[in-house]
Amino acid sequence: MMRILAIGSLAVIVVAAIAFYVLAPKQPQQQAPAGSGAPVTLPSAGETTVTVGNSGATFAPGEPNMSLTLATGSTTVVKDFITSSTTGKDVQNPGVYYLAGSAGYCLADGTCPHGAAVSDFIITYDSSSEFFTISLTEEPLATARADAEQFLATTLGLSDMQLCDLKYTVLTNESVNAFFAGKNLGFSSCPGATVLPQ
Amino acid sequence: MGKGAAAARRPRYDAGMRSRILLPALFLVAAGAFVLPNVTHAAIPFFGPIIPAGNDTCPAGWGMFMIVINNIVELLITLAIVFVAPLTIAWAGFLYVVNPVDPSGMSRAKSILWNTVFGIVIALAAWLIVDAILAALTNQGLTYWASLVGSNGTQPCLSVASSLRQAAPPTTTAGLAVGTTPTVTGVGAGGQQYLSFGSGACVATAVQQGATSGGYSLTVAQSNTLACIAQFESTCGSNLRPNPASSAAGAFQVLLQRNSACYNNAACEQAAGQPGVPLNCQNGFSGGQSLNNATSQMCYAAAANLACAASAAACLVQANPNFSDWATPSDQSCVRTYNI
Repeated sequence: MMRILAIGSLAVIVVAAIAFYVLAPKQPQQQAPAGSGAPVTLPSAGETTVTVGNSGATFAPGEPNMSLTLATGSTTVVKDFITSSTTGKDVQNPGVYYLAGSAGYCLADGTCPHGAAVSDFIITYDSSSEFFTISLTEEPLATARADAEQFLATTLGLSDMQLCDLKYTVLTNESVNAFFAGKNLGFSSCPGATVLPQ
Repeated sequence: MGKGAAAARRPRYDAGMRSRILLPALFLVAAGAFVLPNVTHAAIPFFGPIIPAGNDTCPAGWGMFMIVINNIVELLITLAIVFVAPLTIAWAGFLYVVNPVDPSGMSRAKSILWNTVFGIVIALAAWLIVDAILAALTNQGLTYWASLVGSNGTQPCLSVASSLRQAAPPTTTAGLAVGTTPTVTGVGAGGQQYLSFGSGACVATAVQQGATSGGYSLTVAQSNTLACIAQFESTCGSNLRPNPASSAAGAFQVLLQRNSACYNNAACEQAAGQPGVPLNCQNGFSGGQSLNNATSQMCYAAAANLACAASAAACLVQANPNFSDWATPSDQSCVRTYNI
């Protein structure tokens, strides 16, 4: 009886250990920072475009740009989207900007804060935390996310992969999709992103 | 003396076989008896994580210990059902196939099969068995066993004095910023941690400060709960009008008509640009729909302000501390997870 008990206990421990090793959630490997230190400005030397900063973003000479802190802690230089004509201030929440979509309210003077006119997503930027919130407002979510990525990449002058380093969250409302609501869906080309149905 | 008579003298089960059945059965009862408190919301099959997400950086208390014990047992039972049981059933089938005329081989196969089936049934019914026995013996009712082996509402994390070094918040993975798993942004006076699920209304400290400006006070747990709810209701305050026709507004989608009184506070009056003058938002709506007049426009604008939205939400929480005004399953999952 003792032999059976010992073998049984050993078997349980072995199975549990194997299962833990196989099933334990793996921590995704931390990506190396996109760069370190302050962004550098390279001389244009007569070129029509100049590469600025460690993000690799390209700007025309004299094009306004701004510094942005990434999730990795380093900084990068992007196009100045704050002063862009399409970006709107969230009057009710100082420091918050609508890059795309409507704030959903109008003021007594008739102005309604909004960013660029888009239909299936809203992008806000909180300047105090340098954080982007991307809200997908319509199905299909995969299309909405792709549209938002393309918009943000163009607005900031970054590639899809460089978007991954931003401080951001991609969310959707419960009224749009209860299953995916409350999850950070991530950008589609970033590691750990949720695969969305087309 | 024929074969039949010899067989009749042999007992159907010898002592060794009884022990082989009894021991696993007792083990399964003992293990399974722990499971059901969590089965109600976690359920089997359970594949982890064993340490609950969101509490993986705090010092574990008694509640966490019991949650982890329950999770381990759930995982073991899941493994038994998903991996071990199919193997033993397959082994029994194999014995049947290779022993077509050998009664002892067939009997062994049959006993393996029945042991497997009984083991699973006993493991899954263990909770009821122990609960029923305890209820009969102790006169404490059918929830007594749950209170003994569950976390029973006990805080999973120990309170840590704010003067002590706090656990490091979860590191964010490049590519997936904070949001899925909350990050710890600070510690309240009681040692409870403030959480952030993103930006704006998803930051518990911002929610608490906003409510304070409207004359309401929220606990750390209530602030965390509302920050969690904001993800589902307004994607952290980015999408304030997911349903443009409704009177639901602000980061927490508090109804402007039905909960009009909750918008009559200092923060909302300030946001509406009329300090000291109540908004009386009910005048801008009828049947839950906007009348598109000056009042509804002013109320939507005020509700867009985080301090006003947090104050209105805090007003509702004060009236219904169980957060019953946020009734969706997602909202209630926030309540169960963070309003503790």
